Amino acid sequence: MIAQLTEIAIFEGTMTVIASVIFFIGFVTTHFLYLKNRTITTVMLILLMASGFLYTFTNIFDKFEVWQKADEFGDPFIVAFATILVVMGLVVILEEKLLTSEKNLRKQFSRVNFFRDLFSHDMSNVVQNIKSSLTLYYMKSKAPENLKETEELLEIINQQSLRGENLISNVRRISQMEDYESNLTSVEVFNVLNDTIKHIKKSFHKNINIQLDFLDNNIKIFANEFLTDLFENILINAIMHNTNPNVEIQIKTFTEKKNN
Amino acid sequence: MPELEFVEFNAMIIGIVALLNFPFLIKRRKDFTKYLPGVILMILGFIFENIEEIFFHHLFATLESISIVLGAILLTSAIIIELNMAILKNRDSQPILKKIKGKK
Repeated sequence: MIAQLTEIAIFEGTMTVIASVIFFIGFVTTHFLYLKNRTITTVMLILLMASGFLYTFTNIFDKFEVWQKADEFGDPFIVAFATILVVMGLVVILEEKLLTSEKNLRKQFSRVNFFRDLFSHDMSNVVQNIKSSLTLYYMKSKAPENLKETEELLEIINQQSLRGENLISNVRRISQMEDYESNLTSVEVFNVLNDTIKHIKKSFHKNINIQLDFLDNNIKIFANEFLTDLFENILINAIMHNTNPNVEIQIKTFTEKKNN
Repeated sequence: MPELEFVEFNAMIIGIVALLNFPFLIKRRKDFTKYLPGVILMILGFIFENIEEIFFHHLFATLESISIVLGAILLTSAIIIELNMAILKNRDSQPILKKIKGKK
């Protein structure tokens, strides 16, 4: 039968055999891929490879003129191949959306867990401290000789309530942070830092000397209102953990070359 | 008079729609770029399959065969790359302890 074929027909037939073998390899590979990556997209790839293989396989019989109806039999597979390609495009987009929403959901879930842990641990600690101080206060306030101790207990209660207040305000800030992420504006770092330094100097009763060594006073960055809090936190820590009577802080800027 | 086959013509139209949809797909999933050359060649094969019915039968039939073979090679290569990446990703996400145990 093959001997009666033209050279072109033999060439086309050989090409179809090669395509068929390659599609079969692709079909088998997609199965392994499915074992590693169980997604709808991989299922679509399996179907794509299967239809590609069936189309080329039936085409072999047509090219070598072995089976007269091979062309008719193989045609639906070519339509299936094209249709799967279209459907795969939609499936991939839907899958992507699904993955994004799942990611967001996980993020929200971990955020809820974080706040729950924060409140259940830190807040219960604060409440427990207030409760025990109050119990002691009621016990000791009956005797007038415990005046100093009761005053200390009231101070503890006051400190703990302030701690609780700070905790609540911090939680509120953290929960707002994500909303602010997209609201970044161009800010002059030098001005913000200067304002923070003025505010810090007023808050502490220490001799504070802060030196600014800026390469350029007009450095602009993209930031939001939390930049002040960031500088404030760093400076407060630097002052609080400094045991010297005169606190000296040096703030320097430098350039760094990244990725050429 | 040459006649287009209805099924093959349909496949070509659907294929072209899929090809037009592909840039949007790549915009969302950059990893799908590796499938694009294979898809283009397959669709070209479908187009040649229709053109061969109208004129230059042998030329377009040969072109069809070549583009389908190349399309199959590129699609399969893309799948092998994807599988390789999935294996590497899986290996990286394995706990360190498991890796140490494996070495022993």
